[in-house]
Amino acid sequence: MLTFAIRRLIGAVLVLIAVSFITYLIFIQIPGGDPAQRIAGRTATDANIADIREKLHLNDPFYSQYWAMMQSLFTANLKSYASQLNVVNEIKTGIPATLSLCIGAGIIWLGFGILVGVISAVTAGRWSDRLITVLALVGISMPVFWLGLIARYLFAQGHPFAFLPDGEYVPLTSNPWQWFVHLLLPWWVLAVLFIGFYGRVLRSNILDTINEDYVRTAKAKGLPANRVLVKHVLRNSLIPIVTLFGLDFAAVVGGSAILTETVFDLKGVGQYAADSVQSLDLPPIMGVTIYATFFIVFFSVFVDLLYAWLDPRIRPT
Amino acid sequence: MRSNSKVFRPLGMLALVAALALVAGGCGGSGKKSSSGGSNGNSGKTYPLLRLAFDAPDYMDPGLYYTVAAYQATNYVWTGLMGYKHLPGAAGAELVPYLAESMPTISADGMNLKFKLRANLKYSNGAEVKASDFRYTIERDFKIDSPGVGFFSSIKGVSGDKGFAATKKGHISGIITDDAARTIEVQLDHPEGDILYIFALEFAHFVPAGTPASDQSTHPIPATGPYMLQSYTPNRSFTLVRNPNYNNQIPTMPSGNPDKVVGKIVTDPVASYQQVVNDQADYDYNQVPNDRLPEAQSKYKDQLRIYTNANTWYYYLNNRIPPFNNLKARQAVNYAIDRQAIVSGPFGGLGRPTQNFLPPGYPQYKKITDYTFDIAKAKQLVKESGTAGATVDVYGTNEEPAKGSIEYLAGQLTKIGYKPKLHLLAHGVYFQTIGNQATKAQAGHTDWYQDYPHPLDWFDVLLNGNRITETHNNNPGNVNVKSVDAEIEALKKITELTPAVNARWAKVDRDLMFTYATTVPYLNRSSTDFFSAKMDMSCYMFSVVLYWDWGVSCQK
Amino acid sequence: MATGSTTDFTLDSAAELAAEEHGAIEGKSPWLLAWRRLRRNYLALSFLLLFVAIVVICALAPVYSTHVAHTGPNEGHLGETFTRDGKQVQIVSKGGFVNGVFVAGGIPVGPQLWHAGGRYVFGSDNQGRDVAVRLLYGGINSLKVGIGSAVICTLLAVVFALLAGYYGGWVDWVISRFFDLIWAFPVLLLAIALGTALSINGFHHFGINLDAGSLWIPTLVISYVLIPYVGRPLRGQILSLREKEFIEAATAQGAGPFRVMFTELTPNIASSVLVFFTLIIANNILTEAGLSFLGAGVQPPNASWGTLIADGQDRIVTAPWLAIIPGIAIVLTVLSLNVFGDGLRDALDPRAKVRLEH
Repeated sequence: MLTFAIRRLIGAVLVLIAVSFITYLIFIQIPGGDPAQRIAGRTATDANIADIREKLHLNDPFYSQYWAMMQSLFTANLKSYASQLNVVNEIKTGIPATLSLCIGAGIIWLGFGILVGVISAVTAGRWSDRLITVLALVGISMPVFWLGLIARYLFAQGHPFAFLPDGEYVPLTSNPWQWFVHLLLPWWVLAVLFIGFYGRVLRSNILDTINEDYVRTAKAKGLPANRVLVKHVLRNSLIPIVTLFGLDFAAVVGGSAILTETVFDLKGVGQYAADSVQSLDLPPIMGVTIYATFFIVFFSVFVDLLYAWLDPRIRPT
Repeated sequence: MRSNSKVFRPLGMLALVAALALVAGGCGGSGKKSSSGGSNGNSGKTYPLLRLAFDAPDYMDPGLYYTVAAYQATNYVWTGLMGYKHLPGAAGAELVPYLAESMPTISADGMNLKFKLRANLKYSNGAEVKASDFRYTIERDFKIDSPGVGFFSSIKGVSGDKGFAATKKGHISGIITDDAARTIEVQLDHPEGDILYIFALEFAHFVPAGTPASDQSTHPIPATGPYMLQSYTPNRSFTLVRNPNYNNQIPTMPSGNPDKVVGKIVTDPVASYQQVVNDQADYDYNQVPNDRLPEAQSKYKDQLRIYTNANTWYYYLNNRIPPFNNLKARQAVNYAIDRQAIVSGPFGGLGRPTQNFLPPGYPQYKKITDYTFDIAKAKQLVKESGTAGATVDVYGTNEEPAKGSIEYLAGQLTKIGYKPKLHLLAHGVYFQTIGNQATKAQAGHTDWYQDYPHPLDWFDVLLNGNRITETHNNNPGNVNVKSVDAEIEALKKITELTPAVNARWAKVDRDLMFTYATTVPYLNRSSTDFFSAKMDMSCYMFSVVLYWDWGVSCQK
Repeated sequence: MATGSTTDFTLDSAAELAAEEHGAIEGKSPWLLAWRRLRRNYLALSFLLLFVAIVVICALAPVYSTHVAHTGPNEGHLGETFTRDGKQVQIVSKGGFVNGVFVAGGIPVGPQLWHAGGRYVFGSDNQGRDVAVRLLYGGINSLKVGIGSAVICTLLAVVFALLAGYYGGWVDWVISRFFDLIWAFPVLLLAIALGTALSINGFHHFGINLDAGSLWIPTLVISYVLIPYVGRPLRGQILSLREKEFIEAATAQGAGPFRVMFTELTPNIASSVLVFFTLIIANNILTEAGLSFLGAGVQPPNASWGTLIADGQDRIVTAPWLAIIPGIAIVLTVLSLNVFGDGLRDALDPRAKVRLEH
């Protein structure tokens, strides 16, 4: 187990390095993207630009520029070309909003996903199952940003309702109630897509498990149906859901929340990422990519370990 | 993308500097006594809290910031020797002494200025304001690579190999201070007409000696004005409170009505508008989005103010390469543009159509009205020019309203027989891209906001063929009409703007815009100030320098 | 790791996916059985019909444009009027300063349905363009990108999976690490980064020349970032098939690698591939919309459903149809594919699973 964990961690670090280097390569060649000219502004002089190039080591070969950038990123000194703000600080200030969004949405989608999955599995074939199936498919067929726009329009902008605030993030520490109210719409919008998907996965897991031998045995022994469902079926059907949740949660924190954050103007890390990409601002793009990849990679290691621990049949050696 | 669409207001960088050319005419100083501007004291209109929905300032350090947002927010916090009269409109561009007791004594050759500080000046932390702080402030600017250091290059001991700008060691020899006598003497290498305006810039706003030579945005620097910065969290908020040690020490500026100012940074214009509507904020710094303008205009009419400062939005046409090296082709584009339609559409009405390069309000402005929108005529001209069917690489930014106006241009080019190819870029890289000759941009959008109210800021900076460069070119259309270039060079040498000179400038405008049809100006953009119902609009004051003057605002 | 696959250090986090890939592969004519099952699933079939209808309607865009709306998809009509019930109406409302008084303008005319003789059936956008025409042309682009990227992505994934699964060893190692690497990237972030970077000057390397506005850019970006999502489960399937007797038999009879890959392995994963393919189209249409919404997909003046929504969001209050209508188009298209794909999976291979990304 330990060697497995160590091997996976080494792999994760290698992936981080590769990802950061690839991101760097994507943006380094953009024509018109000279950061020195951008910092110097519209009425710059040649001397001015040359000075900035020198300061930013822009005349060095690209690999040493990459190295310098990574160094300043990991010493928390990296500054944006566009705003001159510290990249690490900006990511840090964005994290509470992103985590608030993702954790809240995660709780909703996991809870409702399980509820929906159990109901449709238990009533498999009946109208409730059909209805849930259709709703779940509608849910996963909607573009999240469109759903967000429409939700804002319907519930926050007075067409016909305006009982929820329109976008923006309020820190939990400054006003818990406002934090909650401001996040209600984004949570649900982000969760809707997953509820459908989780419900469907859980439904098929439960249906598979019900037909397993040990469940039949339990039933044959005369255990009450509810107990069989909870103790044997649900427990085993949930294992894949838990690991799936881990991966999805990491993916959402690590970038899939971009659209939701942007639509609701939550100013989380995702929106920071989107803004930086749009303004072709390399330092924050590097910072955010590494942050997001970190989440995804390390969560996947964590999830594999958790999976192995939950399900003794799969023990890595 | 809305969230990204920043509304760029001009920092009248030199704007400030330069209200000079018109206002101060002759040359700075001359000890002209000015009546203390604005109301000193607060005339009993104080109120507890002003809530701003604001754009993000770049810094909250007077040595570093360079945006209107920071300027507008802190012009009551840090102050310099000189400052502006708090009066509406153009009168607000007049200088008065702030920390200085009176206007300085200036030597006959204009190279020596003597200031005397007011007595008993204190920083918000209680420390005494010393004459030597001035020298420290300027020296600190150099140490932190302030964007304003260029303004101080005429001070003795700054420029040259051994100057302070290069060495950053010792002291600037041209600034001689005496703390006991409260005197500051500034010696210049050569006379500089706008030096007093420079001393009113944020980069010359006093900071206490010993302030670290690094960005102090989040460690508020003690203030000399009626307010002090209590806290600042980048991209989140800033808070201003009354300076406890102020004691009305600058009688030439208002002492301010709100007791506390909380600026929440809301970059999404829809959100900031909504917060004002919902009474979560009192002032919306951002432009009211086009989508909400009809509502603002009908439902909140009294809370909306619209102003048009000196700017021109225009399409450049690359005069150097086909098809627009052809006069008829350029004329065709001018006829093909329905300027009123652009004002209505992408700008939601916020603009005034124009065919002039100079904005209205200049004494040199003479309205051009020759291009009446006429697609048929435009098509005919294209045909005559023999350029029909040419592909045109059209460049613009991907933010509204510039995006809408460039899509419109591309559409009209199609209609008159060209094949436009649209390139939309992020604002941050746009100007360096079109400013690079290698890009070969054939047409595109650009705009200009006045730095100082002088035609030179327009024709010399933007359309003088002698100033075309290979990179970071400010003349992306490569406008280069030899006879006009010569006229610009000639007019450059004339300092006094007599009616005859103004008429010559007006002819330059007409020649470049109509006779040679080098460029397609289309509108002067208007901006909005939007307030909550709490604000008493009878106190609304807008000045060309300070924009909305929040210090004199009052509430119902 | 999950099943009997290799146990080198891997970032394979799709434990759940890879675990279940040794499904039943017997049955005399699985395709016939599947077709019988599918034929009874009226829901799935009716949604397939809906999808086909959407494709056909979009394909008719040029006809609609010339004969009904009488305007092209990128043709603006700012400052012009049209006739409704005999009256002249401004296409985009006038604004500006009238005698010094400000009037807000720029509000596009709303859906006319048939009151304007086929013009502006779904209203106008803020450039005075006909939304219905743009919706159809945008649909063509969305479908092109969605289907095109699904084809490319699936083909590449199948090839990679075959190579990795058949050869194993270092080939498998390289391909798996390649999958891991893309998998580790935040999908959407990578896609918008690539899309934005390429949309500036296009791609001009290795003899490939793509213009900045080319539809190939979003198509290739999307297919590239989604390869592992299809490739990994297929690789797992092939790994387990590789152990089966019939492959050994084929090899023993002297079948070369390509023969084994294409005549023995491919038919056995074909049903999964088909299901994946359907669902991936749906997924890619959503991804394209997201990219275009963030400005990293289809480039103006060309439209896609995503860019139409993005343009509409700035006018959500005064012209809500701009954002609502293209959104409905996306939902209908994606839903039809999802329902059909679901039915197809039930019919073909009840165990195939695909992880959808949003």
